Amino acid sequence: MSAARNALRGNGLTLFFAALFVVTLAGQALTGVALFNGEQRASGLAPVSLVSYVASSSFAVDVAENWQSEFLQFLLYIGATVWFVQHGSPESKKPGEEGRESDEQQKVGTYADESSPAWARRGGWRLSVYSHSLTLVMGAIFLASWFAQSVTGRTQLNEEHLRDLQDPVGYAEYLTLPDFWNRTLQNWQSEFLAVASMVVLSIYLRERGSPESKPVGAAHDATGVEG
Amino acid sequence: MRAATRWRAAPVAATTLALLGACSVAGPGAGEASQAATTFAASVAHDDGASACALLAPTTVETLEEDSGSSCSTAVVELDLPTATHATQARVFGRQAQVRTDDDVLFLTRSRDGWLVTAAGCEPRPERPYDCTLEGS
Repeated sequence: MSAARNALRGNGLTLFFAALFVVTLAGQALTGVALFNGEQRASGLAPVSLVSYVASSSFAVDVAENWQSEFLQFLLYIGATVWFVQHGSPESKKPGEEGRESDEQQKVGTYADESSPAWARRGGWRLSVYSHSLTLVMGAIFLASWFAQSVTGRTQLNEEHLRDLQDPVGYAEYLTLPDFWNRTLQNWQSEFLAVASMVVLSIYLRERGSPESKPVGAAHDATGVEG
Repeated sequence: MRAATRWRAAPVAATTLALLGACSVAGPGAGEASQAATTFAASVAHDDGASACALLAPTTVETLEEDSGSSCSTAVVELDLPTATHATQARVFGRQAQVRTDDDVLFLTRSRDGWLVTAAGCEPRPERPYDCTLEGS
């Protein structure tokens, strides 16, 4: 009982957001099928089941376009904070610390200790891959989601074209159309605004107890200090 | 009435099978969409308005009856729709399909009971939707 409670407590952050993800995805599916079926009925067409809707391009493109932008946001944030600093931000390294840092700072190769991950202790390609494993995986998920958005977005656009008695478009053509880029950019701009806001607001504002904030009493010009 | 229906059904079925022979299809459900389109074309070609109307989407039937002032089965065979001999291409996206025949372009929608024709007798127009002899509003 205590072990289970400890496991829950030790993974609370992951479990909290995983639960929120499942609940909100289910909510998106339920409200989406209601919206879709409203449009179907208005057009004199038959409503679809929840299962059919979840398997449809309409649902898939809405999910994929949001996923790709979220993973891009974190991918860029992880990469940009290597090379850029923000004076006063708890998310930033101190000015002058830009770059990849030394092996000693990164605890790799001869500086690795017994608790270091196996590939951090080994040199060669394993160390190179592991040194960028976070961005590689986040980047792969971003590209996969963006590709899924392009495929399902084209299907949805073509479904609308056929409903409006127009010819469908090919995949290469779809990648040049406003539909693809509008879906993409409307998500990107909101993610970039949120990141920029977080970087700037965390200089001056606080949330007591959060590691994403500086301590409440920390100076505005204190950089890289987490609460 | 039943005898007449049987008499019409045989050539319609045979024509449908012949039309399906040369189909070039793409996407899940393309074969079924082609079959619905060619069966519709065959029904119209054989003046079987009842069978043709059974393959039309509800909004298309409504528009046809309102515009013609007569029943669907009477009006549909008087439209002078192109007489297709075989389907050449079917493209399916989601719940919509476009079927090209040797003499026509038809648009269809997927219903609970299968594919239904939403528009037929369609001619392409540059930068605009197809101009169709039969379509829903």
